[in-house]
Amino acid sequence: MSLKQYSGHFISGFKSSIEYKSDLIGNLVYGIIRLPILYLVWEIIFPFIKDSFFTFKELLLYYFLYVVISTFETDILTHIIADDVKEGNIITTLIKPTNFILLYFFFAIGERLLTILLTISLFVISSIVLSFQINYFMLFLYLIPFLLFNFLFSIIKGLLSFWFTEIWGINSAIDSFTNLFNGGFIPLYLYPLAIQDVLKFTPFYHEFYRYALSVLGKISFEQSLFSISIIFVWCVIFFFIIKFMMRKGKKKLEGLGG
Amino acid sequence: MNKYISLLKEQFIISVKRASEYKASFYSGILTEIAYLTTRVIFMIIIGSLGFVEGWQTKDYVLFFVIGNTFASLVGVFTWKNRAKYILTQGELSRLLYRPILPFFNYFSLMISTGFVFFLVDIIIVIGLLIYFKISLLYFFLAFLFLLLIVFLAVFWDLFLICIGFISFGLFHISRSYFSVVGNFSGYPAKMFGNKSVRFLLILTVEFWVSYHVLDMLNGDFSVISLPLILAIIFAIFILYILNLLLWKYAEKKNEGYI
Repeated sequence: MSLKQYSGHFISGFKSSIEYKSDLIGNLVYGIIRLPILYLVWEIIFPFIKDSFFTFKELLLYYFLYVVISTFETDILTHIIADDVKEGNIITTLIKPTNFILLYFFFAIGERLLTILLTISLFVISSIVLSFQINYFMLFLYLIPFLLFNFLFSIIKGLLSFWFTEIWGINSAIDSFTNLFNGGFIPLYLYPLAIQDVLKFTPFYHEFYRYALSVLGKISFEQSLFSISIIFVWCVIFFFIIKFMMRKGKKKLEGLGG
Repeated sequence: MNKYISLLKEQFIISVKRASEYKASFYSGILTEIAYLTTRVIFMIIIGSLGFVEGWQTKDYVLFFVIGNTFASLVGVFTWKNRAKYILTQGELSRLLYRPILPFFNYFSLMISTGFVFFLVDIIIVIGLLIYFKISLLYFFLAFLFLLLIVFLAVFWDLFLICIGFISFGLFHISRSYFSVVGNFSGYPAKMFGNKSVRFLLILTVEFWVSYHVLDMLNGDFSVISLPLILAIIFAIFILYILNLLLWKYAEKKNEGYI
């Protein structure tokens, strides 16, 4: 395997992110707009939470982190793969002497790179200026499994288009539930204990919620490493699911022409 | 008058046919709506259990969200914001201006999107919940009529904010930021914001009225409905209608589209 053959896709992804500047700025502004809203809402709700696991400042930092981390998600891949399958363009990807997972991986990394650099810088600068107590080491260490998990999950969602003509409904339904399970809507410690216990067996619990706890220093280094290993195990499972979906999906593909 | 009614009828039939023709999109839309409602209802139950709105029980939070979302969908049917963007940027405005009908009304009818079908799905869920919570359907019918008036108010307000894009595209971006902020706030009961200025941001949304009055109406308390209130709402709708017409007149003069 030569990395050189994938560098073009990395550059292509990076260029597309630079080209669509308004999308980049729009996503950043949208995130910034959400922060004061979340502040106002939780300022009202917080006094009603009994024995809160977070202080109010930590809760705000939790949501700040959520806004930052959600910009890392590689959801665009789902739409690209779904369109490729629907329009038959995936055939041109499959006949290339490359690994299609790596091909999409390099494109996604290139496409997200600028956003990741910008939002992380914004987060780190704000944390220093506002003297937030955060674990910078975990912020970067956890980022790798987080990106890998999201990347593979986006491919799985995109490959569903082998079986469904339109996947935007399924994708948006999955995203709604993911936000509920990973603590994006509300921190998971506010859920009833029984639900928290069930969620611990899902990858989403370890995906964002534990990431946030690690960065906020609410769990130990060993607990963070445990969560990171769980995510890697899920990445392996996702990898085999992708292989399986591709094998089955290719049989359904009816590409014509040359 | 007849041509206006037949135009509305035609647009409605087109929207239903469009929804039934593109079945994959139709089912995708239903799935999205159900998933969105399910997750937000769970969210409301968890947040509601904290009891931060005085006198509200969990069912009030659930009803607030489901009814508010249903009528917000109805507002969305007539204010297809993405389409508005294309009207402004890709010369589609010309298509609306050359027809022998009020351009504003033409635009209004074109905005009837397939979202109407999803409103019907939502309303079925609302009725199911009302039966489950043993709430009088008669009270809901009366509250429904009041909410229709509010829907008109919200539609004309949203259309006004979209149409100020005729003056400058920068203003349209400001409107979009406003929609984004209001969209984020309106998922929470307006009652929780007390005297904060957030209430003024939300006052022209259906969620505000559901949070403040409709839930009381479902319990049989219609004391809020008074002639001055109804007249004030009708007056506000009338003013917004005039402002919308003026903006369309302005657009007619400014437009440089070729057919």
